[in-house]
Amino acid sequence: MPRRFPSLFATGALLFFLWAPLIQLGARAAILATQNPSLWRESLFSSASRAVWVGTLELCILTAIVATILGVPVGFCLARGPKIARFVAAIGCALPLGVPPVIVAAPFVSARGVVDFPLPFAVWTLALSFYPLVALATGAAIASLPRGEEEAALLVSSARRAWFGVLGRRIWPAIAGGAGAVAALCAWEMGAPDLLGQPSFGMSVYRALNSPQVLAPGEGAARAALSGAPVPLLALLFLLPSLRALRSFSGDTQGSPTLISKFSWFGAGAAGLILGLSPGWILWELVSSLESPAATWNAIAANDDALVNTLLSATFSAAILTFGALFLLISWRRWPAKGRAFALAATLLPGLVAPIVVGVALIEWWNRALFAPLYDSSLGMVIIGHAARFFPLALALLWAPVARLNPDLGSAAQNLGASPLRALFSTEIPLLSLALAATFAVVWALCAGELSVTVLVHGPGGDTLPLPIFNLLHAGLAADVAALCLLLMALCGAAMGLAFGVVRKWR
Amino acid sequence: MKKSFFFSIFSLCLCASVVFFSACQTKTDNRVVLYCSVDEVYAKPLIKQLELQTGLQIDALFDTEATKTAGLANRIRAERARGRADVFWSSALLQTLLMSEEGLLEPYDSLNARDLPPQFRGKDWAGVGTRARVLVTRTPQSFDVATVAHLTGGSLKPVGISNVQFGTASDWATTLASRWGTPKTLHYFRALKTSDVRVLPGNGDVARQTAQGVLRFGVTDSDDYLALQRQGKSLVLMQTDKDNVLVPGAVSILKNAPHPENAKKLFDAIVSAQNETALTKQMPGVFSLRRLNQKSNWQSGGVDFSFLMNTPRDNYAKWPQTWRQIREPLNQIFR
Repeated sequence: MPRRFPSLFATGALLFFLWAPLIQLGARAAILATQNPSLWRESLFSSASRAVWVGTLELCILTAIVATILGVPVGFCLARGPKIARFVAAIGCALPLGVPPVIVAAPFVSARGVVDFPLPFAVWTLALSFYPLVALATGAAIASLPRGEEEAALLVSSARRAWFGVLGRRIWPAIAGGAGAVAALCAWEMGAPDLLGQPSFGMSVYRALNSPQVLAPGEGAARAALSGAPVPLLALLFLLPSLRALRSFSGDTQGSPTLISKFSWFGAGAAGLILGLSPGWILWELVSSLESPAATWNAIAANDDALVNTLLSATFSAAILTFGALFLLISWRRWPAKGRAFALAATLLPGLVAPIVVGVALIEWWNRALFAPLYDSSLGMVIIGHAARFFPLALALLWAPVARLNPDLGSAAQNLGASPLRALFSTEIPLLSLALAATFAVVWALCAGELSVTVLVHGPGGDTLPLPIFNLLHAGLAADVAALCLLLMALCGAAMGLAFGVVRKWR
Repeated sequence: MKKSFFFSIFSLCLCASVVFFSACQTKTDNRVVLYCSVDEVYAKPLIKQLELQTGLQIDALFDTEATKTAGLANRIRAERARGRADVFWSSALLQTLLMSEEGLLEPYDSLNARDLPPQFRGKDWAGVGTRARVLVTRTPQSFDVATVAHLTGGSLKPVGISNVQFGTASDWATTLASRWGTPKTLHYFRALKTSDVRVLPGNGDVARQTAQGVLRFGVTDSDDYLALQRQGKSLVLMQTDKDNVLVPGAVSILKNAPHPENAKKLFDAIVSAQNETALTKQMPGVFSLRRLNQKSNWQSGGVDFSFLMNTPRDNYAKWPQTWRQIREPLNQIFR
């Protein structure tokens, strides 16, 4: 047991970091609701709240459907397309994930009809942002189909019946999982629906929190927590299919790419069209919004501090999250299965809380004299916010690669005289390098584009690029927005390229 | 062995964090923290100029467009026990006056503010430029809409305003209430609501939707109107002769400011006539408080705003009380 102490200590510290702010806020909200029971009704069931909830539900469900329609052909292309199509699809999937939805919304803000029909625009915006989740899940499911099963199915029936019947049963959970993840992300989304005028939960809480009612200290935060109470349940509801899909992946379904079913050029063309419509179209809209090179440069120069802050905070956060998650997952390997499952669940659960509520909880928790140096620093709270929001995700991304790693490799290296640190760096990290690079790149892009938590917790002089973009969009300065959006997209692309370049060179 | 490994990783992370956060926290003697609700796009270049003028390192925190001014004011209230801001530069006056009443501001009599008209100075605040609430439409109207008071007629819809709980819209509602009285003002906003007024997140949205033809009329800020004009959008300014409202900006030093001397230095620089002129040039649609009676002051962005010259100078001392009377009823009307 003493050998496990450092691991227990680190896990306890992490759980305290993730849970303490939420528990404090939850307790305050519960006390407030007990003292004033009408608050429940006001926060959850008033006509304004109903409109927000209906708007959020519509957004979640319709976006999941549209993302599925866009994502499934791209997923097939990823798994079975010609080599060049697979490459294009991979880039096309990575790009929207690295771009915050608020940027995808930018070209729609001034579109005709957006005022009268915000829902279709919001749905299309979020579907373009999140469809890669469906594509990647579908692609992974197809790639892991057992070869023998596919061959047998295609031998006894037509390709169409085989895919929609026998093989479909293996792929549907993945598609549903991807769609569920898309819906859950929509439940938390704040900036894009707000810009397009679609009622959403995140923005309503943000406004309520900032409304000019002079409340007792902390009351606004407690009200926000009450309004946000059902969001984790909603997100969990949508994420349940993802859990089922994960279970099907972790079964004995590892297979090699089959030689039987090939993705036709027609299908590749359809997938290419979708890719051209999404990242290509967004890029085109942004590039065509730019004014002269001098104006573009001025827009970037005016936000040079935000650029530096984005680079610093995203890099530091991504490094902490990636290596922190790796450290924890490795340390949990020797734990009993129940303990490991408990630790994993306790770490992942805070990821279900709406980011805006996480931001409120962080302010309430960290704004005290003890943490003054951190709270008063320009970027300290931004990094804390990134860590609190994305640690569950980093852990989820690295969980499967670490679980697949043979623990005997490290032990063997140590038996041969290597120190634990050397064993880790010489045997395990090289095997995990691709997963680490992918996690680092994804987390970097998400941190660089994070808005919901950053808008609440950032300190003076701690603006990151999404904040001026969000404000400029409201001010209607399309050229400046386009310049900053393209800069952010280039940074996300560069981070991904750099991460994979380093891994390639290392290998 | 295993223990030392975990501790070495943990120590490494801890050291890196300490180094990073120490680097983040600026301990320089010339630091000052500014909470600023003036539009970031206009304020940033001015802040850079102020840094050059004063030699201060100004760390600014801006408000988002969605929660204009009220967001920062609430943040200051939430940080009352352990304030971290030194100076609050607000693009509207109401929140500053409310904070003054709540005892959140430090009295300061700046030499640079003494040339301001007396109604634009308080014991703990000073005015910095003013904007105006203006009525805009997409195409010149064949009929006459003399003032915003006429917007309640159902035949003029759709009309757009920004959220009256935030920013200059709350100052606008307060001014109308202080001139018309609370019952008439609430009746007006109820009538607007009945005629399906569209309440949008910001004044920029009101101007944009009016330019797009989605709204027939919009009540917005003079700077937002000119911003759309500069983008070549079709937007017509209604030269209303009554019920015009000016919304002055304000600067104040916060009580228990962590850097009080630097705060005074920054306050002096912001309220100076030189900075006010720079602001009016940088941000078309903002007018000098020192030259309200000069016609040249009302030429901005190539547009003649001189119809605003005779706008009544309101009694700002009454604003906090008036706002308290109308805030909750307005909240009920527009919820």
